[in-house]
Amino acid sequence: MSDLKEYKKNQDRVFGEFLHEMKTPLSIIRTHLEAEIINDTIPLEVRQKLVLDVEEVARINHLVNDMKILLSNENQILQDRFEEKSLLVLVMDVVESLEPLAEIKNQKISLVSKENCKVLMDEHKLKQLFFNLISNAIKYSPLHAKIEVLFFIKKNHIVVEVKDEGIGIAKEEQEKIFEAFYRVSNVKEEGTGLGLAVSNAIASLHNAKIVLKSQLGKGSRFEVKFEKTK
Amino acid sequence: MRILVVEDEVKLSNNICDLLKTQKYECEQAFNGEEALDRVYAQHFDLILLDIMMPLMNGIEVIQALREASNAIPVLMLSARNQVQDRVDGLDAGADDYLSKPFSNTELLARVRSLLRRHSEVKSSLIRCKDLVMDEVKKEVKLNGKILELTAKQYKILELFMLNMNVTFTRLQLSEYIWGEENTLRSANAIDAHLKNLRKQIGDEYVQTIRNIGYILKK
Repeated sequence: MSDLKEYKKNQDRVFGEFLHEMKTPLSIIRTHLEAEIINDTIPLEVRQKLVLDVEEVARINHLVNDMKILLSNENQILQDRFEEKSLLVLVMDVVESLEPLAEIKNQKISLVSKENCKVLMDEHKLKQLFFNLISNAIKYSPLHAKIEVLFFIKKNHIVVEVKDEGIGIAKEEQEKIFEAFYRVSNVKEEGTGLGLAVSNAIASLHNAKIVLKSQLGKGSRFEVKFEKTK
Repeated sequence: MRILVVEDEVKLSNNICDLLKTQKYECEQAFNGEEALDRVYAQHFDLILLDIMMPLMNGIEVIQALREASNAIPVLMLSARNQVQDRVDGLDAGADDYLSKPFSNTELLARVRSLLRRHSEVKSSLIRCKDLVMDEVKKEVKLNGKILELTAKQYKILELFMLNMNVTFTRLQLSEYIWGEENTLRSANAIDAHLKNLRKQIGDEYVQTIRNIGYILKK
């Protein structure tokens, strides 16, 4: 291995340990605050403020988890424990959990599939990928929009496509949106800025690829392409 | 119910005990694996919350020792390692469930209750709240004797409330419960929408809103 690769690997290991070390103090702060929130002897207005504090702690924890996925040295451990599960069941579960969110905007999510393929996966991570794509579609689509989730086989790939009628992404930004902390210029929504970078890392972990087709003002199509196993 | 908390981080251990005491559990502490075994052999406990990474004897060795001695006490593992290997090793050694740090109070209490119910001598699959009856085996809910058509997610949310009556859940806790810790939406609306759908099925009087805090199911 070259010196540079060795150096990078070592940096990733140190950073991974650092992230790991952050989890215990976060856990302590959160447990303490949540015990106070359910304590009736504390005035309601104080407890309401503590709710906001816990949300900030959760935000840091969320960032820590996302950064861990972006570190390559964590991946091998995950891949060693992959299980073969139905991709359709997983996506259906994500769609069902997000439907009430779409209903708020009078949007309709339709899931169209003729394929019930199994893939080797880390279920939690893969759910996170589809959760990111489908919740983005809801977020960036107007009222009454239609969101489609399509399953199909294309050559040697199982494809899950998330298609929306949202604001779309300009051509020059389409590659950059998969970079960590990149913010698309026509977006006001808040977020960690890691969503798509993490989704991309999760796809790679599963030997899958995310392909984006989008036109500004006309919506986006995110295709997640898994290699078909024989 | 007596619970032994085995955790070498003193502050975290104290916090867990404070939380358990709010739910009327009796709580004892041990700060390393050897101390944990000494206590378990000397006294009766209904459940052990066990950290994995500990000095002297780690959590997995503790479970192995317990199971080799044919002690079947339920064990809920706690670990900062969000990695599958620890979970597999722990479960292989004989742990009953696993929780990775940081965990929310909701999740901890729900798992504790669930494990205690699973191992309690009086095994009933029915949970009741006024006219609402949940059958955990059949996975069905009846209101005034009539079966409700709940979606899987609605059932899951209601189950959390039925297992934890009189406990307040924040929107964040509920969203982590529904979507998983890694998928939390920073949108209170999403949780409110789920609760609105649930109330359409069970009526408004069961799950109550506590303004700017969350929701509660009162006995």
